[in-house]
Amino acid sequence: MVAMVAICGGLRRKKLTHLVTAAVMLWRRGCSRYKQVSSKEDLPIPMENPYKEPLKKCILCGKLIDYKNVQLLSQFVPPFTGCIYGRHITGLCGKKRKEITKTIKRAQIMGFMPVTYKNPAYVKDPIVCNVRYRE
Amino acid sequence: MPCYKLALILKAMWQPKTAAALKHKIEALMDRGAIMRDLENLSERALPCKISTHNQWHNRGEYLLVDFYAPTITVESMMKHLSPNVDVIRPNIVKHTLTQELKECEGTVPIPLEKKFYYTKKRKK
Repeated sequence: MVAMVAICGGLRRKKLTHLVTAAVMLWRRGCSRYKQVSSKEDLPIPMENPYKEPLKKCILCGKLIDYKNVQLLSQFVPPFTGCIYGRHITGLCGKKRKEITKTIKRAQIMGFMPVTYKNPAYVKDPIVCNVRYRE
Repeated sequence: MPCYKLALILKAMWQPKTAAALKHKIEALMDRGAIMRDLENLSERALPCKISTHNQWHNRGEYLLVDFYAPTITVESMMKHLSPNVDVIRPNIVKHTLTQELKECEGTVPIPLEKKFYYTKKRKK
């Protein structure tokens, strides 16, 4: 102990702190309080989440969209404008939204669906999108 | 040979005239090497808007759907044949929908939060 003190007196402060920490580590390893876990039986097994829920489906998931089906296409168009509702209103997934947009454009160009307004026969259809019309 | 569908809108005429016009069109198709598959008549009804073709305004039209198998070259030549025709309001040849497979839709894939808030594409400076 005395020899250690003498050595420490001769060294500079930084090296002194290094020596002190090294000594403390050695002392800790010697103690029986900290045990190394050798066996891995208690560790969790890596696996997929068993409580995973199936992905939510949009209203048109798995359904065929046709350009002749003007009633279905008109449900995604407001009654007085020709614009097509956005994703935040319809709630469709990316694929189906793109399909619907392309099909609506196709039906309009081919002469099946009106462009600037919604067919008056389909105005009273049940509302599928997240809109509220003025009564 | 791929399967096509001709969505034909004919002028509203007397029935025998429409029949004769349709026969003429189908004969033209068969001359170009097409094989008929199906013929549907969605009745004569009001058009979605007033359409003007060949210096005439049309309010009503006869909707017809013709399914056929044809070589790929026929499509262009058929469109060229149908467009100057006075009886035809709007001709359109499309690929048949039933031949295209319906892809299985698993559901709405949730977008990760990073993509919602951070702009990933490089902006041109």
